[in-house]
Amino acid sequence: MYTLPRNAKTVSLKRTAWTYGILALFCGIFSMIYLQFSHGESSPFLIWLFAPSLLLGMAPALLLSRARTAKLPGRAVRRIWNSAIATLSVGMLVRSVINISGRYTDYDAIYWITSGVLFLAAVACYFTRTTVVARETWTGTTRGLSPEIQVMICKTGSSKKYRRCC
Amino acid sequence: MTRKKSFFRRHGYALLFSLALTMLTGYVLLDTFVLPHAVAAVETASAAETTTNAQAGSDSAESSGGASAAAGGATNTAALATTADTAGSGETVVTNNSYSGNGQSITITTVRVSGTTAYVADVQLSSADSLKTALAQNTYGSNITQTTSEMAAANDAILAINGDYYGANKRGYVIKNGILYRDSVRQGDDTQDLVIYQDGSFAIVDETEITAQELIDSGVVQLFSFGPVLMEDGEIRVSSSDEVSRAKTSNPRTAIGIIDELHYIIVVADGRTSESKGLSLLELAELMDSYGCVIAYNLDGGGSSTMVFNGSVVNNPTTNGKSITERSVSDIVYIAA
Repeated sequence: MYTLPRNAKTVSLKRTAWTYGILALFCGIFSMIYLQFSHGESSPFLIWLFAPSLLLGMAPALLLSRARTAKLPGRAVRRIWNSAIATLSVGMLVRSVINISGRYTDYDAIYWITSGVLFLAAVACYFTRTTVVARETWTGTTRGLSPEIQVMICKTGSSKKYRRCC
Repeated sequence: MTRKKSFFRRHGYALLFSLALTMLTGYVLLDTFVLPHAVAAVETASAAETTTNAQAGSDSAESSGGASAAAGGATNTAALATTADTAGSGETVVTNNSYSGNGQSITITTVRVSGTTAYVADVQLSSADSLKTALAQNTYGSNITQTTSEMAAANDAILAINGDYYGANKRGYVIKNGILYRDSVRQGDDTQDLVIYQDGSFAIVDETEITAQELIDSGVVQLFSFGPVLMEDGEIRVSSSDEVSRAKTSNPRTAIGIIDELHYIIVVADGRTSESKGLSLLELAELMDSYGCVIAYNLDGGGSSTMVFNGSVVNNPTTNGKSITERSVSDIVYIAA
């Protein structure tokens, strides 16, 4: 008997997509209001502030929730990915605020590097981490196991080899 | 208890990461906008004299009844008694809007351009040594600021305007009174600076084409790193089709230009108020052109735009249009009395 956790994750991803959609909308409205009061000064980082939430948050979440065959990201991957988007968005906001005030800064590099590292880490984790693909309940004394014990079937990365992981 | 544990287990990572990101951003903003970083004190032969003048200047301003903008809405209507000082090399005459003495003269006229009040100082000097710059608190560094009127008083300036606000950036050449403070090329698309040579002549240089040391070696004593260039070779260098949004927007402006040998035009325009909307860069350039400037350069504007004459703020400096308040800046350009 297999209990796939896919449905729960799909629902969660759809919720994530909605959250990112609202965030992108908020960023867009925030940018418009900020530009209204910036006395004509502008910054491309402020204009495109909505982009990370929309393109890196909402779009991948929607795509993954609708793709039937794709491996769904685990909690760790999603946390790291979300952190990367947050870092990138805050970096863009900081850079734009500083630029609109007529200044330049080197501090923004911290945000670009951190978000880049986090994105790479999330992607690496997504493709290499061990994932639980099914839970199997064994009954009787088959294969030397005790009766009524649940085992998890796992695989690592894109490997097609499945193994019992506990 | 179980609920609390569950909450932190689920959201602990997000909370910690948000906290770290907030702390980092807080530090970045504080360091950029607030925390002062003194790099070097200004070393001048008259350092002690300057300190004395600072005290004397502020006392003088107070006793003459000249109200500073910071003290509550300065305007160009501040009553200044006509002063005649026969001491020194020549007769010094100071009125509400003019100064003459030591072979040099300053006349300030108020004009209306494009729904904006602009204050135009026509300056004729006898020596280039009278055209100077001063740093806030006599210290070079970032986020070290002082109001234009305070610096003018501290340096015994008859006329002063805000400078290029070098302290707002960590890059870009800084040369003040013949001393090279910073030699890193500035960021951004516009890297053209205004330089003033020992003889008082102006020139436009590009930081990407010449080093700061080469400028010093060629006799540059002042450098302004802001821009853009308004006029060069008698031709206007900004246009209405400029894609840079700030060029098209009306704002308070400060500009300096040269007409002839030791003959300068200094303009400060009001803006962001119901009386004055401000000038676009093209309108500012056209105003400089109307006075016959050969080279003109845009200095720091917006809330920084301030002109101080004989201890009183002439224009209506404002950041948001709601209150007339003088902004603290990094540096000033001034004419020594």
